[in-house]
Amino acid sequence: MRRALAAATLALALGGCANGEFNPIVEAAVNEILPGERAPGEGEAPAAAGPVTREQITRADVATIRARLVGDQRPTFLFAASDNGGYVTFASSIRQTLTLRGSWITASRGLGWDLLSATSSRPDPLVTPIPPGSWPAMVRRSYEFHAFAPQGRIESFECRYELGAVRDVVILQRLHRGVEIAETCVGETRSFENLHFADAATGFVWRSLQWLGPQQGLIDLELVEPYSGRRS
Amino acid sequence: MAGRRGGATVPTLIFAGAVAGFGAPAVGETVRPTLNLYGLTGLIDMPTAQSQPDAQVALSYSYFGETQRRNFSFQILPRITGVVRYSTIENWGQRDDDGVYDPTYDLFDRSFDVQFTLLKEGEWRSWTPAIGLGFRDFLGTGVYSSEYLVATKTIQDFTVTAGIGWGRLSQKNTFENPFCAVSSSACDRDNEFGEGGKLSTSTFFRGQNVGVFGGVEWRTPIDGLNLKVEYSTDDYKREQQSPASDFKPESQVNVGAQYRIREGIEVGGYWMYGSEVGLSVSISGNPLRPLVPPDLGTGPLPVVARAASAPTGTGWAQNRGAIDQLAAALDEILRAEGMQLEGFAADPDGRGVEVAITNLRFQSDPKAIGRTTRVLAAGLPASVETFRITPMQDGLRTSTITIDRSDLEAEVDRPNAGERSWENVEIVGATPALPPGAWYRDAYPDFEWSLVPAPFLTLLTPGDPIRVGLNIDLETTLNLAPGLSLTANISQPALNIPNDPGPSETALPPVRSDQPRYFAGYAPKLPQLTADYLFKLNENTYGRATVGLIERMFGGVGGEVLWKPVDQSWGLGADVNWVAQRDYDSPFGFGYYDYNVVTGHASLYWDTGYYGLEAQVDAGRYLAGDWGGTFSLSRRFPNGWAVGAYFTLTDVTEEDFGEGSFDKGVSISIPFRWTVPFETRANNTVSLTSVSRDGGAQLQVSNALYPIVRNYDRNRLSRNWGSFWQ
Repeated sequence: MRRALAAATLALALGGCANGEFNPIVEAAVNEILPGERAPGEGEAPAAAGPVTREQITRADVATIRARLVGDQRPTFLFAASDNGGYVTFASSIRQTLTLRGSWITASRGLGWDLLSATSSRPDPLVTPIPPGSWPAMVRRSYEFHAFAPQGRIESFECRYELGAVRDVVILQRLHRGVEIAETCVGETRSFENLHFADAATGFVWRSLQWLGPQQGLIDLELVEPYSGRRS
Repeated sequence: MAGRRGGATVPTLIFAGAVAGFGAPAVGETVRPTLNLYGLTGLIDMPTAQSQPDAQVALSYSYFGETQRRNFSFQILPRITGVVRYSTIENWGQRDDDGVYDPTYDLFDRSFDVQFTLLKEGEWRSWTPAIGLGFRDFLGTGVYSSEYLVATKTIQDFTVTAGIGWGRLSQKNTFENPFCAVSSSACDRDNEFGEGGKLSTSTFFRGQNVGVFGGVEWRTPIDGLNLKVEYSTDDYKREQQSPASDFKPESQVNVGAQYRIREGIEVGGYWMYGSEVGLSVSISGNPLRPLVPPDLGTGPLPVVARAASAPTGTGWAQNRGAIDQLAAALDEILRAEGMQLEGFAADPDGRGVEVAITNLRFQSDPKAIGRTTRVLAAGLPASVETFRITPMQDGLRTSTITIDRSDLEAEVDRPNAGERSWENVEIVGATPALPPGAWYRDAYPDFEWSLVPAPFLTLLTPGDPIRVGLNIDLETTLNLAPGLSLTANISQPALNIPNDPGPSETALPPVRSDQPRYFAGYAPKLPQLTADYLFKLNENTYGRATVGLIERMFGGVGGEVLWKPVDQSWGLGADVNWVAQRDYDSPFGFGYYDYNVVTGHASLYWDTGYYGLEAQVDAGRYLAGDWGGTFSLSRRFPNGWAVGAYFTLTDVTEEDFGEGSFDKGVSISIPFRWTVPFETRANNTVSLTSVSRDGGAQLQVSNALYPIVRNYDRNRLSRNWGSFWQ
């Protein structure tokens, strides 16, 4: 299992942090996995960017997700940058961020229309893995979007599940066997549908299409290397 | 909604990448109603009881017969719509000062409408229609003066409207005005308003008859295409009086089609009054719905809470070298984040810091404060428990926001963090200066400049109703110290510049009526050359001193004081200026007019807290030496949009004031950020004023205090605090 975080970001400025070095762990991961997106140093030629491999992820030793907005051509890699009470924020090389609780996206920044935060009732199989046959009948989800007030506009939904077929999915060269589960969420003013690929044994959601909001729509999320806890 | 119900095919395809079209349509989303030829929500020439979404703004143009209308409409509040209109009616015909009748005289006319939504559709019972009460041309010359009560009901794809009208809307299909039974004077309606511009309450609901109008609008299966038919009770009799007029109505039935090319852009074509082709075009937008995604770009710095084992030594706070190193590093990071560190002070016990920042990038100040907080959380020693952040604007220290670091760490990334953080922050007026020994940005003198194309739009000028042109503006500022600056602005007229119209005809000193002369010709202009000092007297009191060429038409010396506590919804200000009128053709000359005046006002500012409405009352002496007061009301949106109106009443008589009777106008300010997918603090402001007259004219000061500080009080920070975590 990979670890993600360290307390090394404290006293960042005193350590002489330069522009763009917003998180040493993320910077290291970007340099390891996405060398083409790293700003070259003086006299240094930019490294050629190739397809990201599992080996690079392993070497980087950092929790990693891959996400693609509807309409985007390519997915983006994001790396764990902070863990605040179980809400883990993943950042891309240009610091667009997704915050996850387990496999559920509870916030997004910089993608176009921010999801400020989200809450769900317990048990939530996206937050705490539950074997697919034991998923609750319903989970209540609430999303907070920007409003001109300290508290955002809240939209709430009742979400129900429908199990699909068992199949295999490959996420960055690693095979996962799981169950497809459709999650239909109905609210007062709108409805949407998430789709999850949950591990057949543990129920851990390795991949899902998740709703980020009425304007942002869906995002395709893959947990390439799940977060397993804060490094001491 | 696309999607799946069981089975593996669809999700497999989706995971394979075929996700386009997997939308999340809103249930019950309504289609925005269309505008009529008066710029109001309506049929063709007749109104409906519908209204636009709250805050919707539209510019529209319509033409038929010999009538052109240019309309600016605004959904002031969810139940109140306002329209300002500038019309041209060709071949109106009128006698000149010598009594000679000119049948080809074209009328240029300004008018104002307001419509109230008394009942929204289905609001009382599910079957009840919307009901509206409207006043057309209630503040103008009365050419279109009319009142109406209208009901509208939507039945599937059809919108059916019926209404009754007074004034111009009572010329056809009529019955006797029921108010005549109450009072015989209610049957008399005098639409002569002299110089115009006065509230025409004395004519409301008067006249012999009431007309019955109505129509139907069909939203066709072709997306965006609406067909309309109406019966109009306006006979356009006055328009036909001149022998030169070609407009001969043959029917009261109008038909037309309107097409929404895309959201915000509509065109229409009509067959009007059985004899004329009409057309319309409108563009509209909504402050609450930006044209581009508002949150695209670099997200905020992730916050990592301090580890329990983090060293909490405080020795750094007594180490000058460490403080300087820390401040320099913060300055570098903050600059990359869009802020400029102006000053830094650490408490001697190492438990708190204060930073003074200038927000260079973000439209929302709480967003800049939030991002600054994250930098401090990432960069400051673990001993620091309290962040005090003081935003500066134009060199002025505004408010100080105190944030507890432990609270921040407990709130970040969690649900409802916006509200929780708002409950925990403290906001006070900033002290006049940082504590002694603080680190300051060593950047003075600091020279700033910009060279920008400055397109301009001049509206509502008789004989030249719309003029679009271009100036090239060079703006330079030399900052000598915090708040102390020298400013020189040069404007080079470039395209479609009007010629000098010559001296105006006015009974007063030409303090504004000669304004077109100052914009005429292609010689470079010097709109401003000033020395300014902005400062704080105490936590709640601000001051300004200005000397030089203050505005395009006046130069002199002036000062201003503003008292505005951050916890108070209102503030008081006063300004006094001695100014002389500049020559229109010489940047440094004052001899042509040989006119000077002491002008100044006491001002009350009040943020009502109701839909962002902000009121301002100024009382004092104006540029022409007249005494009086100005009342302004504007709706300010947290994202920088502002739409406002004002009127000024002074001791100048209506006759001396001239056309319009008294000064009034509307203005709209649109943040550039609303139209582009990146952060910027630039705004575009368009003023739709009446003809520039000399009564009630105020000195235009570019750095008046209240606009500088108003965004930093508790009310305004509250409205944008949701972006603190963005």
